[in-house]
Amino acid sequence: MSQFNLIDEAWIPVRRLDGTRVELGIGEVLRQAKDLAVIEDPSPLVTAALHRFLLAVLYRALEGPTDIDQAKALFKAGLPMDKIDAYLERWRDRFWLFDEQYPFFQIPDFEPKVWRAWTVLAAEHNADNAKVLFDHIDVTRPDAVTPAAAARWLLATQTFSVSAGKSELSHTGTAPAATAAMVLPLGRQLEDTLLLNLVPQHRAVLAGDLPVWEREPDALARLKAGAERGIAGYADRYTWRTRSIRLRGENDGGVSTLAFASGVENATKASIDPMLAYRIDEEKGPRSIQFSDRGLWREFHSLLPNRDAKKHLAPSVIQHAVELTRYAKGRFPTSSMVLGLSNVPGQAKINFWRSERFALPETLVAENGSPYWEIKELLDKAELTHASAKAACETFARSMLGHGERKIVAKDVTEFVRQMPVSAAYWSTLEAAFHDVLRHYTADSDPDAIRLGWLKTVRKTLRTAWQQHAASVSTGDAWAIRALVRAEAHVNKQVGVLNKEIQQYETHHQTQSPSQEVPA
Amino acid sequence: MSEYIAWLEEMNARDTKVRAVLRRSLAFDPGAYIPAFPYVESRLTAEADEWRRQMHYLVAGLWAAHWREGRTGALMPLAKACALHQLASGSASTERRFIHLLDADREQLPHRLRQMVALLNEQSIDFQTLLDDLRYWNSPEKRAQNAWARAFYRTLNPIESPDTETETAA
Repeated sequence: MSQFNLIDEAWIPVRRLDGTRVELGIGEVLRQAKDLAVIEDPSPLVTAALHRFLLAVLYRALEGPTDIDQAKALFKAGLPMDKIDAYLERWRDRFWLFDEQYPFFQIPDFEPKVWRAWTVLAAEHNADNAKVLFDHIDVTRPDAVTPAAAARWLLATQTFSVSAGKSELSHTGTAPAATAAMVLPLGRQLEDTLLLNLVPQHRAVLAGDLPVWEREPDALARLKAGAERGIAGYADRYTWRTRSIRLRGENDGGVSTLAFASGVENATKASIDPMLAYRIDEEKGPRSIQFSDRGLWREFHSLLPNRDAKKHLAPSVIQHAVELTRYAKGRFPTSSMVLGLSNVPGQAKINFWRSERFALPETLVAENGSPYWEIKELLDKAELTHASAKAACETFARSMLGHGERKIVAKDVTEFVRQMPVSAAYWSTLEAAFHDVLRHYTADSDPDAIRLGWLKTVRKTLRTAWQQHAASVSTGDAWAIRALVRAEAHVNKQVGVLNKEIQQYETHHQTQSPSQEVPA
Repeated sequence: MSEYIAWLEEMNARDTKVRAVLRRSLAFDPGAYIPAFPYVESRLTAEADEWRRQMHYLVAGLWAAHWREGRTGALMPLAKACALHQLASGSASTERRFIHLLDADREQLPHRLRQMVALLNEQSIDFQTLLDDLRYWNSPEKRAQNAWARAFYRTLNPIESPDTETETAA
């Protein structure tokens, strides 16, 4: 008996333009998309998965866009609800969360040896369960979850599962793009957001690009043997069956247990995902950019389209958004979300999951074009300056550990440096400044002025970060003072270098025009 | 307080007994050798605290012990003189002694300073600056120690553009 149809039931969390929050079904989300601000869930993984899912629906319902002209026409006219409604009607019986033949994104005949608790859907995304925000727990039976929540987590699991060894069926694989940082340029409302991210696919590709609900559920025998196939297109990619799941509904509709095992392995790992930024390795080719302990902002230029740069491939969604809004600047996505998780490479252990926001430089759609090289220069300068801070810390550590005489173990130096606050203070201050700098790239901005402002910021940040450390140490014993004075030389040298550069810019500016400096 | 050493030089030119007395005073705790009183007490103001008083006695004694006839060369701050000594001798023992000196508390300072000044008997030392610096020896921020360390290491390893803003307030 079929229950909970995702087209009609409320399960997608959104925020309206007026700030109110509500849950809607697929049909209503797309119908009201012009009046919705964003899809919003406490979990970045759910948020990302929901966007990808809706895009897959659109690719199929619109049978396109197949090229940039179609995309532009769509962007101008808006979502054609008649086509969307017709599509949803046609495939209505594939969207029941509970169904005997075609339960959504599940394997209907999977009878597991062990029925797992529903938290296994969420547990894969949380190393520490206490961090998960559950405001959907059924208070009368806390060990069950609502169908709406189950549906959301189902999508998130299929999008972000990481290989975790053997399962009841076969070896578990990693979802395409699971470990990468997903970029989503944001429009003024949800409809714009969806269209900005709907990158055209060639007609021939579209024909075979079937999402999971248009396919027959994979046969158990195949899944046991280790099913594998290549990704057919974006809709397929966005709804990849990474895991075989079967939800068991309780009498009141809640979900407390489910079957959970390996799904279909991705045989085309090298194919490009439209939402990912890539670093191009000389030998290994494109490698997707991931979240790590380093802030993503330190490689922000990798998100920007660039000519001549052999090192990076910007996300297709960014390039597409730029194309669409070049002559519709009012609809340019002023910011972009970046979502994803970070895992220990090769393991299922999740370090963290994250949602970040970046302003997108307006110059992308202006004559000056992509500020890829300018921003890369700014970031290079920050890295170089940090190197001097790091050298200072290492000198300090060595002086403290050895008093200049005892032999020092390299590992001890690393540990010592790690607990010094200098690097953390440096990067956290610069990060805030960087987000600010991005907003200054407007059509009539002066890149030299921006660079001058940045140099001053970097210089100030270096000084302050070192100064904080020095102040805490200079009251120590003579060995600490000695270590400090010896280490300072590195910082002083770099400040000298920065001083020279700043002076050059300033005299140049003096002769050119009245200064339009960006405040440091 | 300023010009104290200049005044001592003047006194010394008129009466050689000055140096002899002050040299002898080093064998006693600063300010405890009565024959040295005329050469210090008359120069101190009423507000001078005990530390300043003792430092006057100490530096006067050091100056006297260090004094050489016909010594030429620009006067150098003590830290710089130490660094030059290290560079000339080529061994790291001077640095160790210097660090040891920086670590001295009020009780250890006179002894360690005496040893250091004795080591530097070849160089011209600026005792006025020494006296001024010692005033801050006990400050919690260790201003004198930090400034001396900086001067020492900068002489040892000169760099192009020292950045005064990076330094802790000396």
